[in-house]
Amino acid sequence: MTGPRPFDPQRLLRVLGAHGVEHVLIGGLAAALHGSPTTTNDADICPRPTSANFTRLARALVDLDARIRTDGEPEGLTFDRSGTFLASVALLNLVTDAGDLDIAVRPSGTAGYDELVRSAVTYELDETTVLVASLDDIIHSKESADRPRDRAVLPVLRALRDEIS
Amino acid sequence: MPLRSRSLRRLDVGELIRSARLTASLTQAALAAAVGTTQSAVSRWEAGGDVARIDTLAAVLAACGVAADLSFRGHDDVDRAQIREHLALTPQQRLQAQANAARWRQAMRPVTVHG
Repeated sequence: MTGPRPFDPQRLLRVLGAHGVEHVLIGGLAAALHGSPTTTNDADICPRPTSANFTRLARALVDLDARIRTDGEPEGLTFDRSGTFLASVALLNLVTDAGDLDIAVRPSGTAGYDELVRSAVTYELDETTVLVASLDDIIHSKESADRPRDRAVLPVLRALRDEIS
Repeated sequence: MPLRSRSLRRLDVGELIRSARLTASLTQAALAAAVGTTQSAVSRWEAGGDVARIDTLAAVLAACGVAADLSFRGHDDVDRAQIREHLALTPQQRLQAQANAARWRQAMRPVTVHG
């Protein structure tokens, strides 16, 4: 990897899909797919926490040349891109050759994949299909996280929910 | 506190009545007499024990020489037209918009002012 790559959500989702990674897209990109006009710099996913799925995710991360994202190290730090390692961590902030990717086994305010998948929405994109957390779950998660950047987008997401309903 | 500044979400009818009464420098008994009720009824309204009907509230405020506007509006400044524009896009187009925005952000460079 040579310096930060532009965020390429299509490639990120395509690679995850090509490896059969079971996940629910959450966060800002998920909100954007629902129609939010807000922009985001990363993709957030909640993977299904099974051994086989972590192995598939590990292969996708190799394809994406994923590294640990850290301040002062634009290229990121190499790490053990194995299913075993992925199964041992709850949260990973990564930089990849398609932009930043955050992996959360239990996103704020949720119990994780099994809960999110029940109300997730399927979006058919040109090159892949993606499961997207419901707008209600995205809002609830951002309310729970309650960081300034979460609070900043909540009025937009609530207005979006009003428009959709 | 100006009565108009209260948001509907936080509207406290008892506090509104008390504030109006104090603005008019009326005692509870005087206000009660003006609207044909008892001092204890006014006291209960202000304490939140009883909630005044909307027509009673209007009469109370009128007796205090004030009026309150009650209207509905979105309590944010979100540009809904922009949301509708994005809703008109396909999911693929929404995804592409994110990629485009990322490219624009990366292409931006700080402006250096010389001289």
